[in-house]
Amino acid sequence: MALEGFELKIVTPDGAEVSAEVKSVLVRTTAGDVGILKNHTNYVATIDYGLVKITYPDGTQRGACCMNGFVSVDKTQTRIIATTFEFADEIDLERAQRSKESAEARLAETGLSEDERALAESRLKRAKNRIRVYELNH
Amino acid sequence: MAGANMKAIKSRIKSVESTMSITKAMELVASSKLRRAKMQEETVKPYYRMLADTISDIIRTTGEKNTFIRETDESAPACYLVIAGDRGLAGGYNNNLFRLVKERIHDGDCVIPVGKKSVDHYARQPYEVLTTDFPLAASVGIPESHEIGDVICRNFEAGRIGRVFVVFTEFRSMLTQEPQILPLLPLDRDALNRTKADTDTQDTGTPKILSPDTIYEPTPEAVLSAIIPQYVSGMIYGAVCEAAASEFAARRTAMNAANKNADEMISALTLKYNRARQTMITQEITEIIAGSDAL
Repeated sequence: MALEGFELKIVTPDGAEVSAEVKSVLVRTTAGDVGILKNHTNYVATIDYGLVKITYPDGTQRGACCMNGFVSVDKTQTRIIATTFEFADEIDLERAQRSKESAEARLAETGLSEDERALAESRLKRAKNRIRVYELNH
Repeated sequence: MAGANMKAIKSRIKSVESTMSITKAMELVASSKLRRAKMQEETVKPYYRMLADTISDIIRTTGEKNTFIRETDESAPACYLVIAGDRGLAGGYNNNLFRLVKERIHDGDCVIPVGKKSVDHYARQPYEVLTTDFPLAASVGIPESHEIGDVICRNFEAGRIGRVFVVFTEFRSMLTQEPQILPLLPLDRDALNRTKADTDTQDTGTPKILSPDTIYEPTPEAVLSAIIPQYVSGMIYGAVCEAAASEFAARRTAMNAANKNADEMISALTLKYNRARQTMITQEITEIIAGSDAL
C-alpha cells in the first residue's frame, strides 16, 4: 500500500481544531517545510509563523495558517499544538489587512519602547502570515 | 409588648427578603457566567491535556538535560502560582485553596498570586510575593498567561526558584470542585515515567515504550527551549480556565444554599409574626370583654 492515512490531531487554546485521518500533512517549521506521511520517524520541530497543508484520504486539500507552536510525530499519531490555527477559508482577510496597516503605522512612530516595538512587529508578522496563507489558497 | 415584637419580626423579614433578592440575583449571574466559563473550559481542556501528554512524551524520550529538564530537588525553594477568585461569596472556594497551599508551603518559598482574593491573602502572609501584576483572575487570557509564564521561566532560569506548582481548583462537575496542586517545573523524567506508566497500564495493560531516536529540528536545545515556555503558559491558561469555571460553580452552589436558608428563615419568621399577631388580638378581646364585664 503506497499511501495509507494516519491520525492527525491539531489543538489550540480555542478548542480542538482537527482530529482526523489524513493522507499527508505539510508543515512549515522554523527549519523549513516538512512533509509528513504515514510511518514518519519520530520528529519534533517548532513552528513560528507557518502554514500547514493537509491532504485528506479522498485527495482534497486544505491550507491553514498556524502560529506559535510545535509539531510532534510519533508512531501512533501526529500532533500539532499551536496558539493559533486557522483554515485559509476562515481567515478574515480584511481584519488581517487592517491589523497589518495599524502595526505598520505603529512601527513608523518614533520613541517606541523595546516591548512596544516587539509587540507591533509580532502583530505585523502574524497579519502578513495570514494574508500570505489566504492568498496561497484563493 | 406583642406590638413591639411584631414590628421587630416584620423588619427582620424585610431584611432577610432584601438579602435574598441579592443572593438570587447573584445566583442568576453566576449561572450565566458559569455557562460561558464551562464552555471555555471544555474548549481548552483538550488543548492542555494534549500539551501535557506531548511534552511528557518528548521529555521521556529525549536524552537532553537543561535547566528545565532535571530531577526534582526537594530542598530547592518552591514557587506556588495560586489562582483564586476575584470575589468572595463562593463558599469555601478561596479558602480551600489557601488551606491546601498552607499545608505544603515552607519558609523561603514564594508565591505568585492571581486573582484579587489571592493577592489580598498573600499580602498578609510571610512568604515572598514575586509579582502582583495579576490582581484580576477574570482578565487573565492567553497573553497574560504568557506573561506569567515569562515571570516563572525567568526566575527558574535564574535559579531563584527550583520547583513550580500551579494551585487551582479543578472543575469536576457542577457540584464538585477540587483544589489541586500541579507540579509544573522542573520536568522530571523519572516522575513523568512513573505517572505515565500508571495511566498506560490503566489504559492498555502494558506500558508504552517510545523509541529514543527522535529527530529534532533545528536542534534539540532549540526545540526544547522554544516549547517549554509554551508548555508553561499553556498549562497556566488551562488552569485559569478551570479555576474560572470552578469559581462560578462554587458561587452558584453557595448562593443556592443561601436562597434556601433565606426561604426557611422567612417562613419561620412569618409563622412567628402570625403567632404574635394572634396573641395580640386575643389579648385585645380579653381586655374588651373584661372591660365590658366591669361596667
